[in-house]
Amino acid sequence: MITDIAIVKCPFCKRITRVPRLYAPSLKGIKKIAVNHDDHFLIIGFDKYGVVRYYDVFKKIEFVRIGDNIKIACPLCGRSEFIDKNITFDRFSIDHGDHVLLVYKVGEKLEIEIINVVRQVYSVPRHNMIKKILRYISRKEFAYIIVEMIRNPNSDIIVPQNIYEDVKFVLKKIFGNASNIKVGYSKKTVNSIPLDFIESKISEVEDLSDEEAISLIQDTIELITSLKDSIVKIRKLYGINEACKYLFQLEKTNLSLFKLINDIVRIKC
Amino acid sequence: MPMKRVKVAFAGDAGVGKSSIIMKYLGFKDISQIKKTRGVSIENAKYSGIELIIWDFSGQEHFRDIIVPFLNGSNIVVLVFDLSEAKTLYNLVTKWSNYIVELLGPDIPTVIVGNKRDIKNLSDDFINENLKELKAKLNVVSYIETSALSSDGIDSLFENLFEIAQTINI
Repeated sequence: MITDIAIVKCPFCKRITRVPRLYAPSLKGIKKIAVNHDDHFLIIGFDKYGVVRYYDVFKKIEFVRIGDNIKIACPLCGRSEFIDKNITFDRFSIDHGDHVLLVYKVGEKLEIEIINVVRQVYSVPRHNMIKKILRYISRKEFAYIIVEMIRNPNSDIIVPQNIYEDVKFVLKKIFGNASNIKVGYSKKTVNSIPLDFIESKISEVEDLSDEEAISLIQDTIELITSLKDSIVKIRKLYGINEACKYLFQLEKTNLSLFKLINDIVRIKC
Repeated sequence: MPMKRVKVAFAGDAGVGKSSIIMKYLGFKDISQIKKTRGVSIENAKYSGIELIIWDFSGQEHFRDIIVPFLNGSNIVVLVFDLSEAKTLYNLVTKWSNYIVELLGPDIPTVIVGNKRDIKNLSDDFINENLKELKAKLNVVSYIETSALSSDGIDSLFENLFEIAQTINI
């Protein structure tokens, strides 16, 4: 089941933005729309399943016809624009009402992309499943459950009765299987550092719609799995010292992720 | 004689077709089945005493800070853009080339690949202007247009990579 409205957070102004969901044709990759955010446009890209896969922000620019200009005509409505010749390197947007021109200017050359502008939907805010779960357990506890699903996918994971159905639903969406989720009271103590990375991703998705929230958590899990697989492959190809070199690199970039991966691959550097 | 191992990094925005190019070369027929890369994926290709260890880097912005440091130690860089998306070429000039210079220096042999030639809609003028910028920043040794869908240019790209690998001292 997929909802009609996608909820995303503008990376520039942090505004929560609700837009009707679109579906990209399967061969073309991404279907883009633009949302007017006053001094900038939020560009949102949907994949063939209608899930937001991309967003970007373009500042809005209005040119006046003075000085050296390059004249262009909008391929959609024909309106003329005069773009400052002195801009040698920039990307910006020009508002044409129901559509927007995204302009990439490099040297004297430019490329234009036209994107349809859609209106935001103003509906009653609805909490996503993850936010519902977080009413009963902390982010850290939920991060622990996710990490356990990665580390020990075959062992039982205990969750309280009142969130059992929701946790099972979300984890089934993320991992494809959640038959190891059981009702009970967990007394396990949690080492927080390896959880920080997942915890930060959980807080990032709290305000999004279910589809986008689950998709970002899935991406995070796949990132962890791919890093784990790469470290194992490097060890096989080049030996333990080289694998450790990459692990140390990870330690410098993200301590929590390093601890988590090291916990899974169990290499003694 | 031991195999000469050369680390080749494929980088560029998400969705430009990096994995499709690599998998097509490795004999994968149906590229529509290829999943998007999250993080990194490592493949290898051998030819005449040379083993290319191909690192396919995810283009996702969410995780770029985590992924980019893994470029370290690369011997050849392949920067891929989509011939139908101006943004992906613009980002090679404004973002990816900076990561390369910062981590590997400006002298690392770099191949620029314009993929999706079958749906190319960027003007040659715009491409050339961007290539000029890239050449000013990086050691661009070649520019190749490919189509992972029709296999156009894929073999030439890898022949080129093996040739460059031969000239590298490791």
